Amino acid sequence: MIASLVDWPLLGRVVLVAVLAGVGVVVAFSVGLAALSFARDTARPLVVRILGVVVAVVMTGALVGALWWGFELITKKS
Amino acid sequence: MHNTLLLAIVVAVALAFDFTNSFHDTANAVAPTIATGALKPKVAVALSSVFNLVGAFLSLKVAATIASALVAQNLVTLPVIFAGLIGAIAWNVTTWYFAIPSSSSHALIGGVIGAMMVLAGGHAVLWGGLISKVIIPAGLAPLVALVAAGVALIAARRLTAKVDTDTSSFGFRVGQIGSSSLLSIAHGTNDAQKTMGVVTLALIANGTLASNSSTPALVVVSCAIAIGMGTFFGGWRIIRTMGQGFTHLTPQQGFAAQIASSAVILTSSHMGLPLSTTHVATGAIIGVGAATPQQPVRWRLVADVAMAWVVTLPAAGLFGAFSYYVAHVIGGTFGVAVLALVAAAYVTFLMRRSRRHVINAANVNDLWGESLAPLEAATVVAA
Repeated sequence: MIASLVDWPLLGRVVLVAVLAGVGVVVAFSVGLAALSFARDTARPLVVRILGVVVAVVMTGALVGALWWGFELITKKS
Repeated sequence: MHNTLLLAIVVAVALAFDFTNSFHDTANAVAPTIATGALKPKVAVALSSVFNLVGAFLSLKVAATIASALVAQNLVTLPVIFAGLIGAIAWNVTTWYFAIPSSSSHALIGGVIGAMMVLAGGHAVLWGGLISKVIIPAGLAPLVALVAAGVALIAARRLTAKVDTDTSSFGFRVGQIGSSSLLSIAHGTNDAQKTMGVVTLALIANGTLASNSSTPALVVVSCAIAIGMGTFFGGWRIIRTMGQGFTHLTPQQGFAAQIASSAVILTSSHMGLPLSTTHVATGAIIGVGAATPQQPVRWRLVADVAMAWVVTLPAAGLFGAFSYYVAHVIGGTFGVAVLALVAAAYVTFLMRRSRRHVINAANVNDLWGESLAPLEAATVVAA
């Protein structure tokens, strides 16, 4: 009876997208932070440091995109 | 049809509800930011206040009336809206006094349902809608946020294991400022619209506006200011519970909790299954605590808060039912005015009582004790 009141496919999509989005942004931020830390470490080889900068820049772009997506969700809801 | 005094009272009470709503919900966006020291308490609430204000202007489409699909719309009158708002304010202030984070939307729904049941009986309530749109999401929200935040934290911890502590803390604190701002904008957009919808409905019910009118600019500005002001005054008691009560938060935990909350709130709302901001934010904080064995969660407090969530609908319903009954017995605009004064007296009483254990920007981050007296707890530890 109560189970029939719930839109289970919608519920499943919400849970999946919400968890993936949340975990994805935190992972991107953490990878960027770790890469930045590698890039700043003068004891590491130059190639590793340059790679660190590249990864940090890519992850920053991903985060800016995620932030923009969040903002779009807020405004498009109207 | 026109009753200017009654309309003025209802609009004033709606704005008061908007104020208590944001006052109550400030913690959802800023508690982890304050707890981890990412921002100073007053700076955090000021920033959140600005973003709530901005959020209120971002979307001008009046949100579906809070009680749509929950009660028979043709029976909704100004006194029912009034009683529902009074019920919600009474419950919000009560839970604020006890420092319990609870859903303002659920309080408003409960208040309206309570008033409606006195007016027309149980058949005026759409129970199916209540279960599918309110009760099931209420149970789901904290669980989804708990899982998302817990998994996000574990991933973050592994990925930054080799990053030195200072860099890690600084990075996650900076990230928290962004996630807190996003949550504040989302809150301003959602919750200001809720009150705009109530005020517009009242204007239509009074015959001041035509039935298909858009929200007047003055209503938008009033609701935006009310939500911004409520946030600015900061519900410190609840900020303390969420920031210090459930578990001790690190910047990494705070960031994971806030990002998970933002993701769950924005995606669920966008996909047509809006979840309570309070339930999501609370679930996320508990999630990061549960994923950190060395910093245990205070499960007893979690159980108390969960109990308050269960009680919110019926309690606000009782407040709403009582309000409607008293206003109806006294009768007319005078009855509504008397009840508004009684509600104001109740709020004043709790505000005065709260001065016995003051929690403000100065002590919001003190060590958590079993009571609401943070300074006493700190003294015991120091001794």
